[in-house]
Amino acid sequence: MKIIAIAIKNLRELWREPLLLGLLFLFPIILLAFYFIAFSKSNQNLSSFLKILILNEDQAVTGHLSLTPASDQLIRLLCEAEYEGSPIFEVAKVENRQQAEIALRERKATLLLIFPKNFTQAVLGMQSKAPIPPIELTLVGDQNSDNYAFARSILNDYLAGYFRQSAGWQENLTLSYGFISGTGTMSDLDFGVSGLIVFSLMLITITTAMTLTRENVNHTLHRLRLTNASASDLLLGVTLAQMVIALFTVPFTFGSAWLMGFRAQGSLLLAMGIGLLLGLSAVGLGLLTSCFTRSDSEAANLGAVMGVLMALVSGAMYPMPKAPLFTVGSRVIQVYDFLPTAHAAEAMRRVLVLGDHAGDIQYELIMMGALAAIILVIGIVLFQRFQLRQK
Amino acid sequence: MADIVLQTDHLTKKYGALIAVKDLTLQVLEGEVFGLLGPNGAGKTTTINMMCGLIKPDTGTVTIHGKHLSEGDEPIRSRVGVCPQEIVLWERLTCFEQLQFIGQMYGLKASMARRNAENLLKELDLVEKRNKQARTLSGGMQRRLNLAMALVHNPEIVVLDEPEAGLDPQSRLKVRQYIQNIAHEKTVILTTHNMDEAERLADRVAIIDHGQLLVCDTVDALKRRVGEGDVIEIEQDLKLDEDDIQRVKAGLQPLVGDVHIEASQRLITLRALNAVSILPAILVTMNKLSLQPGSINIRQNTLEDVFIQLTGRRLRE
Repeated sequence: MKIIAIAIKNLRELWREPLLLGLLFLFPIILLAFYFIAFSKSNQNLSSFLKILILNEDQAVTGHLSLTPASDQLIRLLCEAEYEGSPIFEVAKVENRQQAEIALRERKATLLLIFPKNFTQAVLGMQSKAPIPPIELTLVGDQNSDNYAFARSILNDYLAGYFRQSAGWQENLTLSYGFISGTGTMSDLDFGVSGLIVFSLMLITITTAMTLTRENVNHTLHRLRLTNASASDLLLGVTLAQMVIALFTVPFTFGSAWLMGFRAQGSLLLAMGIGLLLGLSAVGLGLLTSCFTRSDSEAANLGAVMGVLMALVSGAMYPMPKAPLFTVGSRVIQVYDFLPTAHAAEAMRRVLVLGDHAGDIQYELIMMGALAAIILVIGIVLFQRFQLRQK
Repeated sequence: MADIVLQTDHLTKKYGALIAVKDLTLQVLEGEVFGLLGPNGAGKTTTINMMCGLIKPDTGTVTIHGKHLSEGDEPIRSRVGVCPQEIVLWERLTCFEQLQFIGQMYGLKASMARRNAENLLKELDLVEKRNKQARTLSGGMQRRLNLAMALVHNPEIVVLDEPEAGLDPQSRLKVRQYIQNIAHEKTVILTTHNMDEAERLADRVAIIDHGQLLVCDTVDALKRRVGEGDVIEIEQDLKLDEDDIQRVKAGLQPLVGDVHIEASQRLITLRALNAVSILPAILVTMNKLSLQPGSINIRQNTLEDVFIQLTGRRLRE
């Protein structure tokens, strides 16, 4: 009864504070719109960012040999490569390496493939089982570019397949490089939605910290302490209000993303469950924050540092480098395993993007639950110690 | 004799080297209005906070109806309503929502909390502001709402910390009338540094200074301790030197029993049974001493006179 009354009071206060409400719901939408404008239209399929330049020095092409150029066969194969009905590569020929390197430096192309002069001869030699010198195909690209690494990896598979076929092996040369279903035409918007939901949920850290700091600064916490409401009534009431916000945050962000073209593969209900688990961690962090803040602005700043930073380093917004700590069984435990946001981002991505079910993300759910419980307990103990105990 | 409702036994509270309250023993009787009078920083609010369990005393105990007040003791807490000195409201809740909410926090059913809230809004003349958020109210209205928050659960003991502080005359009158209305139905403990407020409202007054109880009795009894009669205050334009002070005391003491000269050496305070009739003789004496009064004021004894006698200084010094 008291818990519900406290939760309703908190929600009423929040509802009447448009700035805070805007922070919770509009900020993620603005970020989503940014993703939509920046990425969704331009990256409709893989070929839009996997542009391959071809510098063909094959003597069969240049006219020094009167043979059918094998390089043309390979180029045609690359041009025809498709995934889910869309081309994988955009292929363009260049006249010289200098011209190609300028395009690579300017990120107008992803990779330069150089055919050697003896390419056709070597392929013919392979087919006749004659001894041949190694074929030196050169792949050039920006080592710092993720797209280059991605294109090179796919291209390696195509090249291996082509040579096996040219050598006369009767193997199925259909793609050996696998895509996970549903990602063939994935854009950064699709990848971003799950991260944005995690990000927007972590804003609850700020609202929780601000709510409790205000109760303290305005002495309304003293007033509540004079009543029959217990510490657990107060903290559960605050938690309940924030959980209601979390419950709305997931479908609200999801719905906005849907309007922008995002289509989820998995269950929205499961995503909301993940959101609630992460929300508990965010409330715990908010409780912790409010133990050390003495004003609205301090609560907002420290809450942002705690919550948003945790979202940013979790890999929810962009990939993070590997940070292994130790191994348990076959699982490498990384720094990120101690961040509820990392598990939430992974679980949310797998549910919304890959269509995974609860059983597929058991590890993430268990870790999120355990971390939320630990953070909440620490938050409650410290809040009771610093703010609710008789002085 | 009325029952003891609330009792403090040897309460002491220190903040580092500062002793906020020292060995304070008080008894509050059922149905009385008990005033805790003292200057700012005397330890009144600390005492109140210990009485309602917000602050833990270093030593000593608080008992309500003979039961020790301990943290989380719901039945005892429900018997006390506290109106803090500062305005403590949820800015974005309406008047009605605040009262209903705090009523529920005291364990009232929602329907009872609503009924009590409506009644209090009427009694404190806040009906028109029922659905206005607290932040939109004037200071006086916020103070009245602050008072209502202490009463919504119909407590047996009402603790009011400086209830008239910061009030406009209209709101002061309303609050004063309301306190007089609830007096004797409930036990009221009020702190104040305003002797007029204490005199008007309190049945018994405890005067504290530097955390220590100086005296505790009914208002009339305290005034009698200072002495019978009226007080004549003669303000000098010029500061008196030591010779003047001795001459004044020697010249006026045969006429009046008590001659007090303040530290500023401008104000001469006399106490006399029939001040008006002896005033001409006082003026003649002053003239003989070559002293010209700037102003003369005749008034009845106040609690401030009690405080001055006990501490040698005024309440606001």
